[in-house]
Amino acid sequence: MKNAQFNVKDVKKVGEKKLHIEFKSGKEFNGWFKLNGVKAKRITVPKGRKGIPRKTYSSMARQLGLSVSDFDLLLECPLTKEKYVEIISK
Amino acid sequence: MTETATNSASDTIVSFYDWKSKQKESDTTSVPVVAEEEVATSLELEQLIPHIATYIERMNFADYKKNEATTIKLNLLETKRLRHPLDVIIEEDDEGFIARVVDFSLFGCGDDRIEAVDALKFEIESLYFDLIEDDNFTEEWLNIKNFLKELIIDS
Repeated sequence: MKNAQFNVKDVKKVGEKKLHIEFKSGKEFNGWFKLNGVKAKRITVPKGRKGIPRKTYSSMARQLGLSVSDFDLLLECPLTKEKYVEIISK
Repeated sequence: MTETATNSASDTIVSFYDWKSKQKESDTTSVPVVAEEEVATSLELEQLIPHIATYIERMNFADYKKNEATTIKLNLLETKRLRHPLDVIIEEDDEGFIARVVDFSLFGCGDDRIEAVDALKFEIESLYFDLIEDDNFTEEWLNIKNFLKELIIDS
């Protein structure tokens, strides 16, 4: 788990850039990942937290339908949107 | 002096708490303080080792219990009520807390348990509002939508 390497801004940025998630700003940031135009996964990115605690990190991974190690890869870059779609479509 | 010490040490010490209260009582005794207390203390300490171990064990267990996940039943959201209670797990999450729904993947976090539950209440409502916007969701989400529609009293 590489939660110490990333902060909430990184997660939001990757979500927006790589997965084209549009976040709505409420108490926290919430956004939907659309698979073939259908809302398939919803992620919550907590506001106002610099570091990401371990359980929050794994909860965000779970929301995206990823294992923690795949979530690490998503944030680190090797995991592309295409690969992500492949994982959640299984 | 030795006899005094032996007598003192042979008293049954049930727990560390007993020992502490006995120490308090003995504090009120007068002379000769220094020498007797030194001998008695070293002998008593020997007897106390298992009790201290138990005490430490208990304290560790108390700490463990404090960090342990707890399940609560949520009956109210931020502005809405629920028809049936919703199971929520609250856990320590590094320096803060995380509250998450058992039935689907949703969480709220905060600096303490109450803050985490409040954040989760908000998140459940936020999800509900997202879901009632339209029907453009996967089957999994449509099921959650139906579940929440039945659960939340929309007044």
